[in-house]
Amino acid sequence: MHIGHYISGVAHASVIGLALFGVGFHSDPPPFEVAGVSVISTAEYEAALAAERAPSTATDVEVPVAPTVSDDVPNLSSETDAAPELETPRTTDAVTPDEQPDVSDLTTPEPADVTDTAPTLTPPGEEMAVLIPRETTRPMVRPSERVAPEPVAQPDPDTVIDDVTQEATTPDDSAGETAEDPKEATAPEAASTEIVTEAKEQVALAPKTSIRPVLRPGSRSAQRPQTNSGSASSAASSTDAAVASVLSEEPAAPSGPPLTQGEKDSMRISVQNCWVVDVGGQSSNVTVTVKFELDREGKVASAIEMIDSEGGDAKAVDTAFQSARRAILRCQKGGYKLPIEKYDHWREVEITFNPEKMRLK
Amino acid sequence: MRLLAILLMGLTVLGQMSYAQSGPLRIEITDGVVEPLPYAVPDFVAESAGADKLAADLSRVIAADLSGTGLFREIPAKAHISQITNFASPVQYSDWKAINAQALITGAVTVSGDSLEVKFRVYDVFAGQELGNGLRFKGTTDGWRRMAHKVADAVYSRITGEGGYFDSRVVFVSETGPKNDRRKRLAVMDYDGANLQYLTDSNAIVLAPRFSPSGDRVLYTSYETGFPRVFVLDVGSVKRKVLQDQEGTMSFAPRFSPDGNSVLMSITQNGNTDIYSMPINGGQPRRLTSSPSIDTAPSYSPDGKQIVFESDRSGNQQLYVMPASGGEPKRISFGQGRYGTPVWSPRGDLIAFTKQNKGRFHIGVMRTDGSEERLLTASFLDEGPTWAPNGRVIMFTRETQGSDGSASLYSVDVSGRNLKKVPVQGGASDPAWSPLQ
Repeated sequence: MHIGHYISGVAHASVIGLALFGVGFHSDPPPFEVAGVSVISTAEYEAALAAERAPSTATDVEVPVAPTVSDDVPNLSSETDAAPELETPRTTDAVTPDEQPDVSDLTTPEPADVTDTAPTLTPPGEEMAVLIPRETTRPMVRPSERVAPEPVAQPDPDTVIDDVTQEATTPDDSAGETAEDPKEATAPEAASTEIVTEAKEQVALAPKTSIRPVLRPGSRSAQRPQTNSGSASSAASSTDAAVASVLSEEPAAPSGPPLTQGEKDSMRISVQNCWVVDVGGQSSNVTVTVKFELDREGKVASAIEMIDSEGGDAKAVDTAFQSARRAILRCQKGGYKLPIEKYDHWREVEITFNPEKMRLK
Repeated sequence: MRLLAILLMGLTVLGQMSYAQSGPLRIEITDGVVEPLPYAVPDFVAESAGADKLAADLSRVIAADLSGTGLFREIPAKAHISQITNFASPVQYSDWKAINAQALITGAVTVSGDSLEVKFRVYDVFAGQELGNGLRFKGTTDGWRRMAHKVADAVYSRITGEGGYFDSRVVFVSETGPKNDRRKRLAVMDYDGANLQYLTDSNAIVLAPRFSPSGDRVLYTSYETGFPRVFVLDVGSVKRKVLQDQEGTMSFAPRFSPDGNSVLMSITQNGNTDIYSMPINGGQPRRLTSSPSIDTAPSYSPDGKQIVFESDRSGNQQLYVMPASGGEPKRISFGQGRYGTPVWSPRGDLIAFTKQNKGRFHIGVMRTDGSEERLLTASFLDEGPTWAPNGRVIMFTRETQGSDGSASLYSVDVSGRNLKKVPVQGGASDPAWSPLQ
């Protein structure tokens, strides 16, 4: 036997002994709940059940007996009612009028001293609002005289009304059948050609165009006040001069946002719908650029001028220009629809009519 | 401080750039509309007794001329608001604008015995001004239709900027009888089919008449000798003479030079056909081509410096251009099919031709160098184009299919629009347009 076996046997025996004899291995019992119970009698139990039951319905209800109606016709009396006796009200005695007061004792009052000087009024304060009286009548617009200022002789019936006075010329028979048309006598219009009564005359009550708003004072060309005196340095004065020159420059373009592409396209489509192109003609080889002005209603307000052309001979260029002019004038109708707030951007218009895509190829 | 100033200046410039308008509103328009221009032509005012019918007839012919181009559309009289009762009265532009009349034509007619006087004015309604000056024509009552054509030409010219073609005539081959026994003779008429006159009888087959530049003579080919021969005919006196009568030859396809002093034609000799030039008053023909192929249908350019013709020298019928004095020709047609009967435009910019491809015939145009070929028509048989004096319209022959088929004259705008039949009594073929009279 080895020593190790002895040691192991003693250690195991010690452990087994401690487990058997409870040294250091006791524990407390687990806690438990206890419920309270009471004992009741049978009578008490029945009473408790009766309280929880539904109430019993009544079945023994007495039916009420209908009342008996007599078939006898009641006796109706046809006697008239006797008029009631009314008592005549008693009249009161006449009222005696009041006696006239005695005015002999009254004396005429002394006239009071009244001065004729007008009272002095204090002027209203500066901030007091004052209503400006509205003008009840508007000035009548008389664009032309209805009646000539002095009687004139009836013009020759063959005389053509024109702004230019010219003498008649006689045709030259020797010039052949294609001779130029002889000029006819023309004379300026003496008075209105139409007779319209004043009652029917249309008077413009409202201005057709509004006056263009003036710029704010100093917004463009106002000089910047000189802040630095002569004591400022030369660098500072040159900077200020540069700033002042920038601010004082007259801008080449009007202020405000420019037209959007959609707004430009709107104008372009409006015109191109009226631009008739003779695709087989010589004018289809010509590109023309025209310039004109629009008023605030979008209507052409100036003569349409050709500022550039490319291709074709003089006749073809003239034909292309006429076609472009007709397109602009024909499709303006009530005015081109452009944003009024951007009027400064479309007051002047340049349109290039380029038929290259439509040309026969 | 300097930094602040620079910053301020930069902000100012940027602000101006963002709101900048580079001058006026600029727009470029590249698409327009192709439609007839509306116009109004109220009946002309009769300024003398008995002129009412002529005035009305004149107005109707003018309207027919203008509307027949396809470039104009007449607004009917019942739509007119204003009535023109006095030629000298000012025009109420607003009334014509209201009915969308872009052009207005007013006129007056005076008849005194046999003499007729017509005056007219043209107005651009939307521009509110007259187009050109008033014009007056004098003539006889017999020539009232021609006077109407002259007015229409002037109106057309003022609106389109190009010359008109209404006062012109067409010489053609009038055809009668069944297809297997067709009788042919030369005839001349106004461009619109009026005033038809016959120039020859129907005893011999006649072909391909061509007007002289002055319109007083006609070249044509006749088989009256049994062989095709080129004749020249005076339209006024209807006298004719053979132009080339060399034994053992055939001559055909004649055409005047632009100056009217010489004639181009094809002459077949010993089985070979070449192009020759000869003086109109007679003389020895001068040979311009010399190839073993068939060279025919020559046509001068308006300046007389070049000649376009057809030839099968490449094995297929094609178009060639050569100098007027002859020389090496240059082929200009390279498309599929066969090309023939080329005619140089009076404008000088286009060549009209007949094309046969895949069993169909076409009238087409191309640039003088052969580029930008455009076919204008297509049918069972279209051939023989001829240009209007202004180079705007092409007239040609269209023949229908079948044993009872017949030939008719048609016209088409150079754009390919406005294809229509020319009103001619009976059958008609081989048209040739006269110059403007």
